[in-house]
Formats: sequence, structure tokens, C-alpha cells
Amino acid sequence: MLAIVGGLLVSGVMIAIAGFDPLETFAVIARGAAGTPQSLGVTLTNATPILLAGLGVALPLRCGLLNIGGEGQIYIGALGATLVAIAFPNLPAPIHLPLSLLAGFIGGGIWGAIPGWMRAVKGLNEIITTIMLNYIGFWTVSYLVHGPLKDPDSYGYAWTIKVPVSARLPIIHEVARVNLGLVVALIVAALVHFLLWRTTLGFEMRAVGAGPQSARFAGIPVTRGTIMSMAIGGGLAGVAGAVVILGVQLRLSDFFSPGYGFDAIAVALVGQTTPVGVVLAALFFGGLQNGTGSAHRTLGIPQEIALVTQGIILLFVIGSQSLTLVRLLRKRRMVRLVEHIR
Amino acid sequence: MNSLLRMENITKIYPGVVANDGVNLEVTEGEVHALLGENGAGKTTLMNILYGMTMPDEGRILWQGESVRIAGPKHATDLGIGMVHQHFMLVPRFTAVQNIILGTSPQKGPWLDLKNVTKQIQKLADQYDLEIDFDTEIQDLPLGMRQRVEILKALFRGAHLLVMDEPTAVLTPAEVETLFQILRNLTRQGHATIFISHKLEEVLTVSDRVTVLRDGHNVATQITREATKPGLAQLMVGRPVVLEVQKSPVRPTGKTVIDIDDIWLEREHGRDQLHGVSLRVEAGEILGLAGINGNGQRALLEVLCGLTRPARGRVTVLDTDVTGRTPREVAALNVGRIPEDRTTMGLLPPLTIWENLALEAYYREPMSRWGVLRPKVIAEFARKLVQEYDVRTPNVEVKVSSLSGGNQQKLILARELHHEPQALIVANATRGLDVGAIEYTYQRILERRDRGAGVLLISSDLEEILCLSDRIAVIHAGQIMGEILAEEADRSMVGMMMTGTRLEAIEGPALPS
Amino acid sequence: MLSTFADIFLTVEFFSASVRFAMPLAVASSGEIISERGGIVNIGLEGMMLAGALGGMMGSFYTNSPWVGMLCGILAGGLVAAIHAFMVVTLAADQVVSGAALNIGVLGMTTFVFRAVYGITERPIVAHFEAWPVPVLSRIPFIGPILFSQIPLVYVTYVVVALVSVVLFRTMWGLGIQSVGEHPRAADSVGLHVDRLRYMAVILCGFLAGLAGTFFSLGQLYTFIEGMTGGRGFIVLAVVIVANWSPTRAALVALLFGAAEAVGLRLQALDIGIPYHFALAFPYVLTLIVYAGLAGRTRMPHALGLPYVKD
Repeated sequence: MLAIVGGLLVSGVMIAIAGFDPLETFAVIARGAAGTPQSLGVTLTNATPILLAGLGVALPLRCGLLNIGGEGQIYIGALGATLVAIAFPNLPAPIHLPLSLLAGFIGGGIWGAIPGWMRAVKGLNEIITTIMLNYIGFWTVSYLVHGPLKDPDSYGYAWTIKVPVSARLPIIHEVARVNLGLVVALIVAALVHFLLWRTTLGFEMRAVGAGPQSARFAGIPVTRGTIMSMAIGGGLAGVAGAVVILGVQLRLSDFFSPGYGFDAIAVALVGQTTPVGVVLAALFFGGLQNGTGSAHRTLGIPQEIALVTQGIILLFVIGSQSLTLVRLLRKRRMVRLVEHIR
Repeated sequence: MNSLLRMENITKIYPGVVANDGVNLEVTEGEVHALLGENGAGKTTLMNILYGMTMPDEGRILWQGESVRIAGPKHATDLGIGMVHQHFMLVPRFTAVQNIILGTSPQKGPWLDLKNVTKQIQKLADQYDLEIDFDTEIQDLPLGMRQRVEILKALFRGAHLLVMDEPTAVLTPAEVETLFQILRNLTRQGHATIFISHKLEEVLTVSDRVTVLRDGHNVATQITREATKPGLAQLMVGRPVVLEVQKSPVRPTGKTVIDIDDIWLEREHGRDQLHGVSLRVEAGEILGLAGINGNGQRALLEVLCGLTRPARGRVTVLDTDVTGRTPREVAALNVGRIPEDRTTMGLLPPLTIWENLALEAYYREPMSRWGVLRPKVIAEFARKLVQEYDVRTPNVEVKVSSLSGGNQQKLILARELHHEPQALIVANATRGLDVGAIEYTYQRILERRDRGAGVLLISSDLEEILCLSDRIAVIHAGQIMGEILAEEADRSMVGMMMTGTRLEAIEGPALPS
Repeated sequence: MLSTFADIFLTVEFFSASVRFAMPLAVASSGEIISERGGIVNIGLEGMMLAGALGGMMGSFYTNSPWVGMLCGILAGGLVAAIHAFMVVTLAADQVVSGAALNIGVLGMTTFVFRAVYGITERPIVAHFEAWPVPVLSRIPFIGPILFSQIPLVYVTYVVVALVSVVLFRTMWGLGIQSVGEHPRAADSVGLHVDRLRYMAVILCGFLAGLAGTFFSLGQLYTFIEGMTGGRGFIVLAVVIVANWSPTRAALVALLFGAAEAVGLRLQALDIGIPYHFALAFPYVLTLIVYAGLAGRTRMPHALGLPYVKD
């Protein structure tokens, strides 16, 4: 919370330097984010993919792995969902939609399982491997939408045909234009919570994250925990990609993600890697992006202020969790305590 | 004798503990001054203050009669204080020379001319009769030589007072002898030494005076010649100490619970290997495996627990072949395993007490069903064990990282012993514990043995081995040097085996028939 | 077909382009190696390069001198690095996350600044570096045109790589940097200032990353484009591992990636049926394979990624 306030303060100063009134800008951003049912709807729609991808970072992080590969997992997940959606145009919606979402999960899951496997079995740092897989995933999708999957009537755009209606996420609120993806994301968040705290698999993942050596000694299947956490994390990011395609974009392109995978890292950390925290953080960042968009339109301020703010908030978050600060505070308290006892 | 160093009324408070509470220490020119105390008595803290690694909250330091405020290691070094840390402060991937010159300016200008510097250092080494291999990376040197590098490092910086923190902990008996020789040599050349230890024998052998610390206070300073072993022991622990553990005689059963048959394991860097180790542990006995750390004990532990697959050989535990089994399969046998490192092998400090207690059984009924945990069952189980093993905690939701070492040890004992294992593997389990916790651990281990469990006690602490074992085997460089009955063992004999002499070679000349 | 292949790839132009593309990677790798040898992972390299690109462009815009631009780019990279150093050294924050946060923030920041200063419509072309053949050396057959007929930034890189190598392995300062990356407590115990050395390592890394960034704005496109470094900062992270933390070896590995990039561009331009996407993905696939192949055989600095907190 303090981190968010700090982040807003710093970006306020930047806005002022750029020659805008920070208070007015923030007011416009707030109104743009949640002032009307329509704008709130956009915020919720924005928040949906970063919520899912944020869970996809938070879960492996509990297992001690930093998943920077959200972006690639999102693209491959979107690819999986799109393929299933356009391959079976005649399926009834109650089967087609879940199947497409599942394909997204599996696509992203494979893209997460690869670095998970490399880490668990070959000891390769997941940060490097996920970064590489981001690019490989992106260029794979890029090739497909420029080539074999390209819509013949696309007027030069590199994208696929639209997914059939039966695979689309229906709108659940007409005025706000919110689709079913939001509900999917919230259910998934609840499932992740259950997985982490109430299942043996979640216990294993948290044990590995708390101390891989002790976990191994105690007989926890470390390899399985590591691979599963990355596979499920990747799968969640894949669902994020699927939700964007099936609910908003309706066709796969190689430019549909404005960096959800990186927003996801911010969301996971600001949300303290708990599912509830991730939901709140995703709503906040979704609103921030939406609001700065409207500030851009009305005041002409560059929209990238959202990115800047996000980066700064993230720095504040890790800064406030910093060891040295915590120690300093704890020590002060302790000295007082000791003096008190004497 | 002139006073070289006076530390007066030193007080240092850490979160949760008062490490030093009004401690006084005086060292005179040319003496070996022992600083005696248990783990956690405040010895290391006091020396860190002297070396400028941390600041005292109260008190003052007089160096050669002048009041000084030691701002950092650099300052301490400039004054002429040199430190040989218990955990060597050497960069493992640097050579001895690189380590010795690190942080100094051996030559003019920024350049590094190793050849020239090596000559310079060699001369110094000759002066103090220190034998060192200068061009090998530290990680490939034996511990005794690493220690000599540390000593030379301090001398190279012009140390007049040398502080040695638990210098014998990692040494073989022969290396200890060499070290004492070096210390005498240093004294002859006018250096003073502070010798930190909790081993009474050594203190009595090597020091001129001794200061005893207990619970952060200093209890006494005596001239060593006038001190006695029981007297010092009582000062150190604060009550008369029973140096012998009460032990019932062993009742041989003939039933093998752990059978290690010709285990081989090769590793990188050539240390901690196994070259055909065979051992048998019977039900109802404690087999002590003595040896200096790094001679294959860790490898053996890993093989026993299913963490590493041996290149050759077979391990049978309770009639089950566990070679190449997973750690879980081994843990699921009726085996208790108490590892050497509580926080990186035994426990998961960031998790709660109940989670740590459930670590080996969470995946089975009744703690979980169909992959779903049953928190009520686990919490009930945890509360029971916490009470039974007297773990001091407000509740089982507390994180293990916030418990004391002794309480952490109790958690491990609770988890590993509550199911009454028939085989028990203990590895350096009492390292860093206070006397109370050590006694508690010993009692629990003996209790298991008396109820018929076979215990393999891996330890680098010779006292511990002699005090608990029924039979003693000694490992050196991955090979068993010999096995003897505990009542026939004497310290020097085990010590010789620890340094690589085979039992036959010792007994040979002793029995000329 | 074979002759076409030779015509396209075995030419002076192709090798020269490979060198041109490789040098920003090489110089940034040198920086990253200093930082990682000092124990600090710098994922924020991408952001520092981007800051360098914008700084270079703006410096050149206001002074009309690419050299001043280069200096501004170097300083811009150092500035971002200083934030990273503060986060990870002073606050002991997570190094990877701090770097990732800086990447996000700088991507936004550079675009924000560029648009706030120049608006959205304009994209000013600034004074830039031209190819400057080195007298004598450039006339060596084959080698000369490839190595010594480049823009001056390339020559700066040659010097930097050599210098970093010497400083790291042949000076007391270099020994100090290595010690804080291997065993900071030991370094501390002999009176070295761990924090100060680590600050220096990270900020030096920022300088070199900034220098790498100016290749893009002053050597290739002569202006600034949002996110113009295009993920090369991440490639550098892999280059460093594959090169086993040696600056000269990193320069050679960088050449490989430069060549891959040159191949990609040629495939794209020629449109000879091989999808250029594959060529563009190739460096990443290659990195992954090489990295997997090297598993367990590289020697990472022992304290890499670990904060050092006294007491």
C-alpha cells in the first residue's frame, strides 16, 4: 500500500515536470478507470489477463522460481486456444468454449513446463530459459499468423480468421461490456488459493520454495514440484492469452499482448504472491492503464506514464520488503524491548 | 608484562539476545590468552567487536594503552590485530597468494604482479615456518593449509595480536599439533594470541591465561597453570558437569538393521568421495563413524538417504535394498534421520511448525486424502508432538525460523523419532547447540537404542563419538580405517585413524608377537 | 543455389554487418560481466541500453555531435544503473526483480520523455557516426574492410573489451571486484568496501550498457524509436553465461549472435522462401541449446544474486 502511494508520488512529480497538473491528471485517471460503468468495464477487462498471468508468476514464485516467461506462455496459450477454436467450428458452445480455454492452458503449460523441466533436471536457471522461450514463442506465433494461419481476406493484416461464436467468451454485462473471462479469472484465482494451501501438491511446491535441500532430504518430490509449478504457472498465463483472444480480440495476431507477461511480474509481487493480493493488484494496474489512456485522450499526456508508474511501484514494493530496512526496524524495536526488560 | 589490549565493559545486543553483557578482557604482550566458553557464550561476538566487524553498544577498547574506536576490519588490521575466523575468510576460487594480498597494496600502482608478490610472501612464510602451496586454488587445499594461509594473511598485514576463533575445530590431531607449534613460534617472535575455544584440553595445553565467558558475561580470568579441568568446566557451564553420559551396557542382538556393502562414489574436486565403504549396524547398538569432515561422511549420508546413487555397492536398511531409491521411499521405511544442518537439511525455516512436522507424512492418510490436506488432523498431530517433546512455542502456526536452535532440534527429533524408528541415522546433529540441548539429544538417541533401534552416529566430534558409541569405525578419504569396540578405543588411536593410519598399522607394532 | 548462398553470406558485407550487429552485444556483455563478477545480476540491462539510446540521441540532437551524444548515452545508462545499485546494494532488494522493474519503468520513461519533448508526429534525425576506415589497418585484405572500416563506436568497443579484460584480471581493483562476487564476507573482513565495489561494478555496467544503446540511435537509425533495443539486453545475459564470464570470449559469442542477426535481415530482405521469423528466432534457440549443453560446466561467481548484509 505504502509502495503504491510512493509510486504515485514519484510519477506525480514526473507529470509535474512534464508540464501537467498532477492532481488533475490523477483525477482524470481515476475517473477514466472507474468513473462510469463503461470505464469500469474496460478496467475489469484489462485486469483479466494480467490477473491470470499474475497468478502464473505468483504460483512458481511460491516454489522459488521466477517465471519471466509469461509473455511467451501467453502467445502459445493464445495459439492453442485459437487452433482449437477454429479447428472445430461446429461444436456447441458449452463444449467448445471450455475446450478452447483448456487448449490455452495446455499450450501455455507446455511453454512453462519446458523451463521447469530444464531447471529441475538440468539445473538451468529459469530466468534465462524463460526469456529465450518468450522470443521463440513470439516468433513462432508471428510466423504462423504471417503464413499458414493467415486470414486470406485480411487485407494485408497478419492475423487469423475470427474465432467462431461458439468459442467466444460471452458478454455478461451489456452496459459495461464485461465478458465471461473475468469470472473465469476469479474462479481460477480461488482454485490457485486452494491448490497452494489445501492440497499436497501445493504443499510440495511451497516446501520446495522454502528450502529445496531440506525438501529433498525429507523426501518431497522436488523435481515434480518444480516442473508442476512452472507448468501450471505457464498454463495460467496461457489461459490469459486464451481469454484475450476469445473474449476481446477474437483473432490471433502477433501484436495482441502489450506486455501482459511483464505486467504479470508486477502484479504478482505487488500482490505479495497471494491469490487475493494478485486479484487486487491486477485491478489496480488494469485501472491504471485504462485511466492513463483516458488521460492521454483528454490531456494529451503520454500514456506510457502507466508503465513508468508500474515500474516505480514495483521498485517501491521490493524496496519496502528489503532485508536491510526490515532488519533496521526490527532491531530498533528489539533494542527498546531489551531496555524495557532491564 | 605490558598490557597490549584491554576491552572494558563491552555490551552488545542483537535482536532477541544480549550477546555480550559488560565483558572485560585483557591481553598482555607475548601471551597466549585463551577465551573459553560454550557456543553462544559471546566469544565470537566479542571478537567481531575487536575486529571492527560490528560495533559494541557500550564499553571501550584500549589498544597499547590508548582508547580506540575500531571502525572496521581495515582499522583493526592497521592497529596490528589479525583475525583467523572459524569459517575461513578465504575466497575459494582464489589462490593463496591472491587471498593473502586481497585488500592490501603490495606494490605501487594498480597493477597486479603475482610473481613478484609471491616471492615476497614466500620469504615471510619461511620466517614463521609456514608450509603453504601458493598457486593452487584454496578450494583444493586441505583445511590445515587453509588455516596457515589465514595466519600468513594476518602476518602479511603486520598483525601483532592474532585472534584465532575455534582454530582446531576443523583440524586433524596431527594438524592441531602443527598449529600449536606455530603458535609457540609466534610467541617467540613477540606476537600475542587470543585463542578461542570450548575445548578444555587444548586451552590447558596451549594458553598462558584463560578468560571464561558464560551467557555473555565474563565469569573469571585465571592463570592457566593454576586452573584445573573440572574447575574450568564448571565455570564454563555454570554448574558441575557430568562429563560422562549414563549409558546402559550394550545388548547384542545379531540382527542387522543397516548394511552398507562396498559403496563407491566419485565426485568433482576429489573430495567427499567413497572408495568401497562397508559398515553394519545391528539392532540395539550405536555404531559411531568418526572422521574429519569432508572425508566422505556427507556422501555416505546422501547415499543412505537416497539423495545420491552410488557408482557401485548396495545399501540395505531394515531388510530393504535402498540403493537408488528416492528419498521418499527411504523416509517411508521405519527410519529416523537427523541431519547435520538443521536449517538447510532438517527443516524449512520459512514454513510453520505444523508444516515442518508434517513434512514426511503429509501425502498419506490421515494427513491428507485424495491429494487434499486435512489441516485439523495435522494441527492436532503437531500440537501433540510439540507438547511431548517440549518445544517452547506459543502455537504451531509459528514459523520455524523464529525458534531457537535447541527448539528447532527438538522439532527434528520429534518428527524423526515419534514413530519409534528401528534404524536411526544421526549426522553431526549437535553442532552449534548448547549443552542442555546436546544432553537432550543424547538422551533421546540412547533411549532409541535401549528400545532396540540400531543407530549410525556420523560425527566429526571425537568426544561425541567416544561418549555415545558402542562400536567405533573411522573413515578417512572415503575408506574405513578400522573398527573397534568402544571400550577398547583410546583417543590417540582413533585420532591416528582419522588422519589415515589403518588399524592394522597401529596394532602391528603394539603387538610384536 | 549454393553459389547464391555464397553470394549472400560469404561476403565482406555480410561479415562486416555481423561485426556491426555484434559490437553492442559485446560491449554490453563486458559491462554485465563486471557487474556479475561483482555479484550483481543486472537484468535491467535492456532498460539501461534503451536509456543509452535515448540519451545518445538527445545529446546529439542538442549539440550536433555524436561524440557528445555518446557521452550522454553512457551517462544515461549509468544513471539507471545507479538506481539498480541503490536497490540491490543499499536496500538488498531482489536483483532480478529490481532489474525487471527498471526495464518496465525505463521502457515507459524513455517513450514518455521522447514524446513529451518531441511530440508524437516528429522524429528528428540527429548527427550520427559515419563509417571511418582506420588508416593502414583497413587496407588489410578481407580483415581490413570487415574489422576496420566501421563506425568509430565499433573501435571504442574493441578498446573497451580489452580494457575490461585487463582491469578485471590484472589489477588489484579487479581482484577486489571478483572477491566481492565470490565471497563478500571475506572481502569485507580484509577491509574492502563491498558496497562501494558493487556500486562501482553496477554503474560501470550501466555506462557500458548506455554505450551499447548509442549504437542503435547514433550508429544505425540516427533517431530514437520506442523499445528500439528490441530485447538485446536479454541476449547479453545469455552471452555472458555462454562465455563463462570472460569479456573476450563474450565478444566472440556476440559475433555469433551478430551473424545470426545479419542472416535474419538478409533473409527478410531477399525473400528467398525461408521465413525470416525463423532466422530471427534462431539466436534464442541457439542460446537455449548452448546453455543447456553447458549445464554444470560454467563457473558462475559464487555470490551472484545474493545481497550482502553485514552482521
